[in-house]
Amino acid sequence: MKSLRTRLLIAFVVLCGVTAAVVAGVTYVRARTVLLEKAQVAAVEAFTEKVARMTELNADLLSDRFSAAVILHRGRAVQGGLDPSAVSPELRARVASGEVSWQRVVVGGRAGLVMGMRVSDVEFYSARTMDDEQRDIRELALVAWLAAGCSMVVAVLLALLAARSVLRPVRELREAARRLGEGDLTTRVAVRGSDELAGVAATFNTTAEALERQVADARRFVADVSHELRTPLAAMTAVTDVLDEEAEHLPGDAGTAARLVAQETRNLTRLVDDLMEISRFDSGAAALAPDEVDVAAAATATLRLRGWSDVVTDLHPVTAVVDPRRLDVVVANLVANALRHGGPPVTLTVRGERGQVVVEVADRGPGLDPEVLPHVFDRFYKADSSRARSEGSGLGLAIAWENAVLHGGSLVAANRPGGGAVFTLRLPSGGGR
Amino acid sequence: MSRVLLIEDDQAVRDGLRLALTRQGHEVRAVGSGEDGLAGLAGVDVVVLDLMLPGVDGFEVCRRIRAGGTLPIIMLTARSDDMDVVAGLEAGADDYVVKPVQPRVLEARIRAVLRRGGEPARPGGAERHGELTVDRAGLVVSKGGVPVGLAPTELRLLLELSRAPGRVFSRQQLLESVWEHGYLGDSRLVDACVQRLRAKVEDDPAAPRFVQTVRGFGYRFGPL
Amino acid sequence: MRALLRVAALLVAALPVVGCGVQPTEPIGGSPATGAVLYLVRDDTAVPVLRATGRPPTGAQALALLAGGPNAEEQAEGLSSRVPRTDVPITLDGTTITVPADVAALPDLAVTQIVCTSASPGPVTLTGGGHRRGPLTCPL
Repeated sequence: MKSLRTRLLIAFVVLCGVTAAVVAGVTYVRARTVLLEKAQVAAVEAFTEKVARMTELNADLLSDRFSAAVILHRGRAVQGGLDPSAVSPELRARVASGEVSWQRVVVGGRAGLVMGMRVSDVEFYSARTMDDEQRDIRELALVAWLAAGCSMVVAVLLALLAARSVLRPVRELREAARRLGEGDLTTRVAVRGSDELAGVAATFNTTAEALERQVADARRFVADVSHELRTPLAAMTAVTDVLDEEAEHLPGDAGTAARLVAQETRNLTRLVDDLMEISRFDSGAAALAPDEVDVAAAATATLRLRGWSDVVTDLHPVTAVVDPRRLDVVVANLVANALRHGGPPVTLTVRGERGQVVVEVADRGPGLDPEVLPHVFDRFYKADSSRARSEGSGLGLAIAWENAVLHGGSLVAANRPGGGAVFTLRLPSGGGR
Repeated sequence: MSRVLLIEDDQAVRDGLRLALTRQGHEVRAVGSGEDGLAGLAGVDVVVLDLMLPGVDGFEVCRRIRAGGTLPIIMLTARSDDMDVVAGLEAGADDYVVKPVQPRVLEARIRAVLRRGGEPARPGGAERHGELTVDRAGLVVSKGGVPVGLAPTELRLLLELSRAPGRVFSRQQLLESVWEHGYLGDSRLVDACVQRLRAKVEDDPAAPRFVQTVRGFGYRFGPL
Repeated sequence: MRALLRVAALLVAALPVVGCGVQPTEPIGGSPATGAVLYLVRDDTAVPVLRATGRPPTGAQALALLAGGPNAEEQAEGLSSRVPRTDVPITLDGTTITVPADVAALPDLAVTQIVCTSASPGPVTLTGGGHRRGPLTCPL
């Protein structure tokens, strides 16, 4: 009983089978009774009529093509070709009681009717075949069987139809739920009719709409927050250089204050930028801007742009479809971490593997504490909690990891056998998602 | 010494940027609305335009400035991965920076875009490519004898491509040579500029003959 | 599901009890048989003859009919009777048959007719005209 279709099929077939059997059976029995009784009544009436018209005893008057008769006078057969032993003692007893009597007998598969009546001390018996009636009844049975069989076939077809009409909406709903779960929030289901399935479909649509709205609200919130934060920061950032330049001309504390504000403005800007990145990933608003890029050349440009000249490189030209800005973000973060927390020499390797491009940043520093290792990509996770604040925002590796996943790739951290840490970035060369 | 028109509605940002740009040596005219900006275009060398403006919005201002001439426009946008950037580029902006912007970055972009406009004359007369005539010395591009009004970036892009007809330039290469962005800039800048260039020089922008796309590689000039 | 199948199986199992085809029966009785058997004469022999009546046969009724003699149909077939036609019926009472004629003078054939028509299980005695004959039983 695993599938709904099978259950429906069995229920339909059983229902139809039982109904057909009962209906056919009852009808057959009734029809048979009526048929036989009519034939019997007709035969008996004919028999009594013939006896009534008789004057001198003449059994030939009673018999015809279909029947044989015998007349017994005082118990002795005086006329007729019917063997008196064909008449059962029970029938003779009944006839003797004065009633016109008859009895159905089946001899050798053939049915017959034995009739008898007594007038005074003369008994009349007639036995006729019921071949015609038997044939009719057999035909009746055959038709009943055929009709039942056909109706079973129809029942199966109807069951399949009913199953389909129920299963189709169920399947559609399942499909839509899967698509919704995968992230297509515009998924809707067609609402047909007004039964419970339609109710579920309508509820599904309402829920999907609510989800869509929530996600849209979340994205709009991100956008709004971004705008609100950026405007004051833009004004402050515009003048950080001025503050830095004028700081040395300011007396005492004012100079220190100016430099402090300039620096913290820069830090705040970086933190806000990182927060915006992360929230875009969370709300699903992050999108790839892919382009065909020589990854080795891109990595070189990343180093060059930031002036990191003491990184050892091992580069093989590999072309892949990646988002150049995001690739730059990841590589820059990994190299900056290696330079800051690891130890020289810091190496950058770019090579291609089957269907992937692999970027490795390794160092020969203290490596990663085994306790820290599983949490290294967590947000705001500081390896050493006693260190008040590092240069980064605490989100660098988290963003790097999200960028890798957005491409359909991966980013893993490990310790090197000879000491030091290695971060391995893998991206599909074909463009992943 | 160049004249910068800054159109930014937020007072603090306006003051801050004006301060920074003035210290860099530019003459800055700062206004707070699109209407004021459009009214004060006379004598300006470059426009720095915030997209989010009250009244006439940034896109409309950009379109009108572009329609009126070849003035370089740099967009100020609060978000970098949004349809706004693409829309702004299609409206005619030459480049964009994301707020909050470090003054030295904005400075670099301004200088780059001014360089495009005032390219020193190169030797050689006019080159003929079909109906298109490219005069490298006079920095004039004509089609069928009629001069085509190209924005500085569009002109620079066409000059770069036609410098080696038939050679394929990748988007990254164009970003570096035309926009001076560095290798990992936003390739949408290139695509948007190509669109605008095609709209101006091609007979049928949907079937380009001069500026052709080479799928998976980049763009090239011709072959005709 | 299980319950459904169980009920269905029970219903279907109950059906064959009915039986297929034409089944034999016990003797069935209908209406009472009517008619009477009169013994008339053909070629100097008493023969049983069937007379249609509306009532079941009794000996008394048969005797009454016998006294009336053969009807047109019976006559047409050549049957006759030696029993004298009388207006007063021949009556049967137990084992005594009262004939409205002298029984001593009746021919033997007539006596046979009367005795047999009475269909009495045992011997009967004829009385009439002051005489008695019997006890007699039907020789046929």
